[in-house]
Amino acid sequence: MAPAKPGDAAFANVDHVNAELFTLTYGAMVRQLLTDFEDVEEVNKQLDTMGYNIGIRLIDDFLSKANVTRCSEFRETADVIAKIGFKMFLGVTATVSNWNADFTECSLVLDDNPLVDFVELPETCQGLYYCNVLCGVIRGALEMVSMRTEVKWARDMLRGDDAYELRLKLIEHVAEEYPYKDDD
Amino acid sequence: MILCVAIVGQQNNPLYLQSFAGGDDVLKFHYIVHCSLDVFDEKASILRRTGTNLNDNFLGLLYPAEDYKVYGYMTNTRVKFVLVTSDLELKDLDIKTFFQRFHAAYIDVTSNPFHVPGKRIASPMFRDRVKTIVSSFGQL
Amino acid sequence: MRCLYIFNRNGMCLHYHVWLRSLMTLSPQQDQKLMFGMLFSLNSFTAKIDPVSSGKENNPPCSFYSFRTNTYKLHFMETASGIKIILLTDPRIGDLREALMHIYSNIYVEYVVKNPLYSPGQPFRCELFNMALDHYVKTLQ
Repeated sequence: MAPAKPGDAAFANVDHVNAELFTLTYGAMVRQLLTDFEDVEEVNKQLDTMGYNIGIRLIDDFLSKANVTRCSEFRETADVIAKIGFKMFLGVTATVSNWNADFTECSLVLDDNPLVDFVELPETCQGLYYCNVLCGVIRGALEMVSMRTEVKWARDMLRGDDAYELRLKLIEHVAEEYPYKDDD
Repeated sequence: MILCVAIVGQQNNPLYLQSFAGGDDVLKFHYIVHCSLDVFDEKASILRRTGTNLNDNFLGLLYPAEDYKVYGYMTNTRVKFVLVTSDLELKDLDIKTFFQRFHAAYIDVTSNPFHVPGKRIASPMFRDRVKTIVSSFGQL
Repeated sequence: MRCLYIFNRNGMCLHYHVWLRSLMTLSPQQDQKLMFGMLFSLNSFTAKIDPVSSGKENNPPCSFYSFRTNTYKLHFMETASGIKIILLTDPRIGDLREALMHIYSNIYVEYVVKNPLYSPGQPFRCELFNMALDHYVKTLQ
């Protein structure tokens, strides 16, 4: 599989952190958000916003370390995210599947999710998308490469489903525009 | 046969109790576990005085009664695990292995960010895991 | 090594660093606008006039990376995220594509992007970045 090797190479190139420390830190953050905001929907939104802020910075880190050329179409983009992006930053791979007819929507199914080790959602938080930060990260990163997208969780094991599946939808390509007025 | 397992916190507050002996008489097990707490402190101080460092956590047989035995295990954070069993012939090694597996399950459940330390453990996943450990007890 | 510009995709000049520039005819804002505008046009010009590439819709198939006059050489690099790095140097200097990549990955990303107090899209002034850049540029000369 051609894309697997650059993913592993990129993973080997970055600094590693202890997985449990990462999981526990993320868990503490979600707990604190729940205490501060108290409303599950609001916490979902905050996680998405935080992910967005991470994504717009992460894209430069990714581009500088992963050595990928520009993607010519959305299919390639989804593959790069699944095989190289996830591998580089989370150490797991995802599979791309369920393309729609005109190749603007697809599903990313994660093999494993290090954010949710040891986690069990209590009854009071059943509406919570615990890993919503990942949706924001992908949305933010793609926006910086001229793609406006919508990313949502289709299946979440913490809510009783059998896998972690993200639904990635391309809304439009934003063309590069000359930002200054011509007469200046 | 293992009758009951229990977890008691640092301030001797009950965190978890699961009985495998038929459902009723849970109160009896609470009483047994409560009585064994005094022995915990005694045993722990004896071990400290004699200076044994190996297997500090496993405290061995706490006290034998007519129809059951009680074993204890204390973690470094002074959380106590109690095992009540009706078997009169049990190898220490088996019990130690059981406690180590139980300790691992306990660590996983406390790592849940939604778990509040000091509160009772009510996780169904933990309950299932303990059931598995208990049923595979004695079989290597 | 004369000077360095870093622009983002909206034309905002994120950083301007000068080592040796004896002549500056325009004000800094005009100078930066001119630089950005010229590169933007040059980029689309080179892409459109390319006689050999297939040119898929959203992907500029070719991008220029330097031009040289009798008094200076301009080196250019653009990333997929729209960050443009421009270096003006002595005309005798060779190909600096790798150096530009190094400045992007090891200096810009490390000291600016990873800084949590930096808001993307704003001009930045960061001592660590300046020091790392100076140090790296010295090793090139």
